Amino acid sequence: MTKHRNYFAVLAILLVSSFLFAQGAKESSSTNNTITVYAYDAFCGDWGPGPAIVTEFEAKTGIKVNLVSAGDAIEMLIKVQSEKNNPIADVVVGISDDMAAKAYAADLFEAYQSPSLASIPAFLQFDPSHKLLPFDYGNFAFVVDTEKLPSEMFPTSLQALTDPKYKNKVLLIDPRTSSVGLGLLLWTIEVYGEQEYLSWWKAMKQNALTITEGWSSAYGLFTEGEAPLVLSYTTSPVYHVTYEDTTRYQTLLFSEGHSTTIESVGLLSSSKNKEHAKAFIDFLLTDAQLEIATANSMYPVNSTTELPPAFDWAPKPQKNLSLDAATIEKNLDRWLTEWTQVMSK
Amino acid sequence: MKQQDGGQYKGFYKAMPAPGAAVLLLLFLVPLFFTLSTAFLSEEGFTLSRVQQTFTSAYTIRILLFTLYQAALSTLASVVVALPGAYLLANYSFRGKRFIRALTTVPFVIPSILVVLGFVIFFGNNGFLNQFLMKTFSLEKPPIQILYSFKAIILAHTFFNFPIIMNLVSSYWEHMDMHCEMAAWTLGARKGKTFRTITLPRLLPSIISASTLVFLFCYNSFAIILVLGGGPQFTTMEVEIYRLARTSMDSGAAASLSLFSILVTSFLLIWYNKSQKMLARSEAYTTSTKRLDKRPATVAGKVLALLYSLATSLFILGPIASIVVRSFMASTTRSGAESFSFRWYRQLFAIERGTGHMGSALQALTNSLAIATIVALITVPIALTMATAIRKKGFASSSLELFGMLPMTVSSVIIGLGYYIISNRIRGGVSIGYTLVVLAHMVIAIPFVLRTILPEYRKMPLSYAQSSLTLGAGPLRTFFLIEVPLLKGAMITGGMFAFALSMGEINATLTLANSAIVTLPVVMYRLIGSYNFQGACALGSVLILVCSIVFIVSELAKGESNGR
Amino acid sequence: MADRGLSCAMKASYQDFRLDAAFSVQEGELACIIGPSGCGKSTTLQLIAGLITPEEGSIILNGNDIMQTPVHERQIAMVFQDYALFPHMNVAQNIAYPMKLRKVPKEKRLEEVNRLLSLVSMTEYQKRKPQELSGGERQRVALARALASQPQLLLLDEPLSALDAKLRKHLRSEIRRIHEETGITTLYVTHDQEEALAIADTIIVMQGGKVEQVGSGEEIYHSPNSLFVATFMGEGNTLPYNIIPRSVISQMGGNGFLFKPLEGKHTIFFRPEHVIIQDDETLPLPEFFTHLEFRDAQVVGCEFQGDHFRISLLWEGHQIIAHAEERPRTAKVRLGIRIEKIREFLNGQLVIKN
Repeated sequence: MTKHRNYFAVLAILLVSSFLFAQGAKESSSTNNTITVYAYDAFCGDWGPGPAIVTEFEAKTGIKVNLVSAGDAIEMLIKVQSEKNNPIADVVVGISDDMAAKAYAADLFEAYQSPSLASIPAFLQFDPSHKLLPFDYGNFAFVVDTEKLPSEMFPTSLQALTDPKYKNKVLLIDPRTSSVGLGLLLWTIEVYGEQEYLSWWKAMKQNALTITEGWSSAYGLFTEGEAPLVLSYTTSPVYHVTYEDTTRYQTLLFSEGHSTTIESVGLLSSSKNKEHAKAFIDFLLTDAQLEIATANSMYPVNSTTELPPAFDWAPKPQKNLSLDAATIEKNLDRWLTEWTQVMSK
Repeated sequence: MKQQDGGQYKGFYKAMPAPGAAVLLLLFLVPLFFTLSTAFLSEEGFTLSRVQQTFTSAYTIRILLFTLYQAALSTLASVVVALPGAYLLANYSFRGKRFIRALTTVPFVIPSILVVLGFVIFFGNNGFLNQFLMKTFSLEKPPIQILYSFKAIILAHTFFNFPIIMNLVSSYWEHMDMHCEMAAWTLGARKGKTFRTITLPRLLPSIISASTLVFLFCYNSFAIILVLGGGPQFTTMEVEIYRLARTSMDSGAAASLSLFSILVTSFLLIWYNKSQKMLARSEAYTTSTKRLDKRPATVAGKVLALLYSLATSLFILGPIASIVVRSFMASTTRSGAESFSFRWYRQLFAIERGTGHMGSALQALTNSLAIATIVALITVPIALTMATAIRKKGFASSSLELFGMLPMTVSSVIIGLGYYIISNRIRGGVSIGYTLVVLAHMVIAIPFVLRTILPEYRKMPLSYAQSSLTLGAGPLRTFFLIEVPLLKGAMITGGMFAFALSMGEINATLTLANSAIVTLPVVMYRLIGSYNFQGACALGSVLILVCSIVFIVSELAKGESNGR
Repeated sequence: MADRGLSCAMKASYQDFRLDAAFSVQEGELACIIGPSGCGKSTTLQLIAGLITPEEGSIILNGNDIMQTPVHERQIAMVFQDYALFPHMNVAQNIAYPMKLRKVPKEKRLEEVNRLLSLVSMTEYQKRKPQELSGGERQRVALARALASQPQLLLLDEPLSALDAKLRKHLRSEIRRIHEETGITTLYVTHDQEEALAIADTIIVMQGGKVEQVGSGEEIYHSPNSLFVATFMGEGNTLPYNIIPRSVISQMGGNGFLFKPLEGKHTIFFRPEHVIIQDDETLPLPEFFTHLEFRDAQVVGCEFQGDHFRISLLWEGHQIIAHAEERPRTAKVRLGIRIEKIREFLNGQLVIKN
C-alpha cells in the first residue's frame, strides 16, 4: 500500500517536471517590429558590446531588438536547431569560423550579400556563400613580459620558440580544454602541416613551464612573473595600456604568420522578419564596429573603423592563417588524440 | 535489537524527505538522466556499442587508473598532514583554535582558479616564498621548484583537502572517551603503541569517511591537475570528459565516459555511506566532551606542536595571504611597477567608478550574500528532513542517502551539461534565473549538509524520541522539541557549509544564469577573463573574509548551544 | 609498613577538590575503597594506576616505589567502570592484547586466552565483538583481559555498577572466587556498602578526599570511627545524647546522673537490629542489662523485608528505625536498646570511654 503511494509521488513529480520543461517550448513569437537576436553570453552582458549596440540601433532605426544570451556558440547552434519547427530567433551572433562547418551542416542560415562586405578584407570572408558574415576577428599570438626577458631574446617565429634557451619560459594552454589552446594547435598545423606539426610540439614540450587548462590560468601565471612568454591574443597588451598605463607586456609578431579566429553573424532562414534582421547585420558591420572591437578586445572587420590609440599596442600580423572549417571538423578529434599522445609521453 | 520503524507514524517519516527529494530529482537527477541517456543514443537509435567501447577501452582504463592513483596518493598525503593537526585540535585547548578551524575551511570556498593563482603567487618560481628565500640567502635561482610536476598536484590537493580531514577527524576524536587508551596503558602499552593499536583503529572509521570525501574531490579535480601538474601527461577522467563534451563536441562519448566515471564514484559513495554507518555504530553516544589539556605537557611536545602549527599555517595562509596581498596591488605608473593601493576596494564598494567589470562588483556581492543566505536557510531544513528518513534502516533509506550524496560524485562538466538542458527549457525573467541558481546551489549543498547532520543524528539514541512520544508529544512536536534542538550544532555547521558553497559556486551559476545574474565568483571570472587579476583577488579576499566571519560566528553560536 | 602488597600516600588537588589519602593493602588481599560519589575513590585508583600524577607522595608496590614509573610499566591492571573493551577487537583479541605487547608466542597466547575465558566462564565468546555482549559479559571479558597482563595489582573501578541487582550479587561472588584462585592483590572501588562487606578482606572508607577508616568488614560495621562511617556502612539511628539520662534503665534503677552530655554535638548511634520492641504496654521489656527505654514510640511504617520487618517509629519527635521478626500489634510500642550497643560521637568522631 505505502509502496504504491511512493510510486505515485515519483510519478507526480516527474509529471510536474516534464510540464515545466515543456513550458519552455512555448514562447511568444516576436511582433513585427521586433527582432530576436541570439548571442553568446559575453556579448550580452553589461560589460559586453551588446547592450550599447542595441540601444544605439533601436534609437537609429526604431526597430526593437530582443537580445537573448544563449550560451556559447555550440549551445546557440543546438538551441536554434531544436527550435527549427517553432523559430524564435532571427539573427545569431558569434559563430566562429572553425565552428562554421557545424552551422553549414545544420542548414540554418540564409545567404546575405550585405553592402558592407565591400569594406571587409577578403581574407576575413571565410564563407564564400555569405551565409555567415564576419563582424570581428582576432589573432593568437605570444605575449612577452619585457621585464623578464631582454629584447634580444624575443623570439621572432614559432620555430625560434622551440630553441632550448626558452626552457621553462613559455606558458601554453591545453587544446583539449581551451579555445585559445586549440588556436595554437591549429596555428601549428597551418604553419607546419599535418606531417610536421607534432615535431614542433615535441620540441616545445621542454620549453613549456606548464600547459594550463585555460587561458585565465596561463595569463595569471604570466602576470605573476612565472614565465616571460604566454600564449594569448595580439590584442592582449591593450588592456594593460588602457587600464594600467603600462607597456610592459607586448605582442610578438611571428614571421610564419598568425592563426586567425573570425567571429560571424548569420541570418536565420526561418526568420519572419528578414528586412529588419538585415538592417541589424548591416549595423553590426558598420556603426557598431568600434564598440565591438573595444569591448571584445578584437579587431574590427570593417577597414574604415578608427581604433583608439591603445590599439597601437595590438599590432596586426602581416599574414593571417586559417584552416578550412570542414577540415577542422573532420580531423579535430584525431589531432587532439595525436597531440595528447605526443604530449603525455 | 530491532530498530524502531516509526510504528503508526510511518506516514509522517515517509513524507518528511519529499521536498528534498523533489529538488534533487528536478534539478539533478532528471537533467543527469537526459545527459547520460545520450550515451545510448546514436543516429540509428538505441545502442550499447558506445558504452561498451568506453568501458573496455585501454585508454579509458589508463586514465581511470591514473585518476585513481593521484586521488589515492593525494588522500594519503592529506591524511598524513591532517592527523597531527587533528590530534592537537582534539586533545588540547588553546587560544586561536576557532580561528584555525575557520581558516581551514577557506580553501574549500575559494574557486579553484584562485586557489591555483594563490598557490603560484606563493610557491611559484617567482612567488613570495622563493623571492624571500632568494633575497635572504642571496641565491641566483629559486630554491623551491615544486610546481608543475606530479608533486605539485599532490601538494595542492593536500592544501585543498587536509583541512577537511583535520576538521572531521578532530571533532570525532574530541568526543571519543579516553578509557580505552587508559586501559591499554595499564595493560602495558606505551603511548606510541597505544596510538597505533588502539586510538588509530578507533579513529579509522572517521578517517575512512573523511578520506572518501577527499578522494572524491581529488577524483574530480580539474584545474589543479592541469595547471600545477604541468601538462597533458596528467590526464584525468574529468579532463577527458571535458574534452569530449566541449572541444570534440561528442556528447555521446562524453556521456558514456561520465557514466563510467559515475559508476566508479558511486562505488566509492556506497563505501563512504557504509563507513558513515560504521562510525555511528562503533562508538557510543557521548554528550560530554572530555576535559582538554591546556597545552602539550612536555617541552618536546610543545616544540613539535609549534613546528607543526607554523608549517601548516604557512602552508594554508601562504596562498591565501598571497591572494589578499595581490588585491592591494595596482600599477599606476607607465613603468608598470605595482604599489600598494586601495583602488580595487574603492571600486568594489563603489567609492570610485569601476573599470570594466568592477562596476558590477558591489551588486554581485549583495547578490551573492542574498543567494547564499537563502540557500543556507532552505538547505538546512530540507537536509534535516531527509536525514530523518535516512536515519532509519532499510533499503529505501539507504537509496535515499545515496541519492542525496550523488551530486558530490558527478563531475561539474556533466552537471553543467544537465543545467544547460534546464536553462534551455525554462526561459523566463531574472527572477526565474535567480530561483534556478538558488535551487542549483541547494543541490550542490545538500550532500554536505546531509553529511554534517546525519552522523550526529545517527549518534542520537532512539530512546530520546521514544520517550518524548510516550510523554504525549506527536512526531512533529517531538521532532521540533527534542531532535532539532539536539542537532542545533550540526545544523549550524551545515548551514555554514551551504553558505560557503553557495558563495563560491561558479559552474552552475554561469550555465544557468547566462548574463542576467551576477554573483561574486562570476564577476571574479569575468575580471580574470578581461585581464584584471588584482580586481579578482580583491573580490576573492572579500569572499574569504565573508566566509571566515560566517564560520567564526557559527562556531561561536555552536559553542553557546553546547554550553561550552 | 608491609614490604609486600601496596602502600601509598598521595596528595593531589583539582579546582574544587583536594585528595590526601594514605593506606596500605597486604599482598593477596582484596581491599575495597568505599565512599559516596565525589569522595575521591576513583581518583585514588587513577593515581595508583598512574593515569594521573599526584603532587607529592609515594606509591610502593611490593617493595618498589613506582611513583616515577610510567603507566605501562607499573604492572597494574585496571578494569574500568565502562569496561573500555577495545571496540575494534573481538573478545579473544582483547584478552590477547596485553600478551601480544609482551611478545608471548601465539601458541601460548591462545592457550592463555582459553584458560582465562574458562576462568570467567566465557569460553563460547571468543569471536564476539564487545558491542555484541551484555553488560555482565563485558565485565567478565574486561576482568579476563586485566588478568592476562599478569598484574602485580588489580584495580577494579566500580565494575558492577552498571548491572542489575541479581547479576551484581552473582558476579561479585565470581570476582571473589577468581581472586581466590589467582591470589592477585586487588583494589576494588564501589559505592555499595553491601558489596564491600560481602567481598572485601579490608575496607577503606573515604570521604571528601580523605581516608576515614581502614579495617575488616566487621570492624567497620560494628566499630565505626566516625558518625559518617557508621551511617554510611548500613542503616542506623542517630539521637542527641541528652535523651540518655531520661531513658536509661539499669538493674539498680535509674542512674541518669552518670551520663553527662559533652560540649559540642554529642550524639548516640545504634543499629536497627539492636532495637528491641515490646508491643504489649502491660509487659516489661525482656532486657535485664543496662539499656535505654523509649516509651510510647509511635509506629509510622512497617515494611516486610522477607526475613524481618523494617519498622519506622517516632519517639519524641525523633525518627527511629528498628528491625523485628514480627509485625507490632499496636500503634504505640516500647523500645529498648542495650547500652553496650550504643556508640557515642562528639562532633562526628567516636568518643572513646576508658
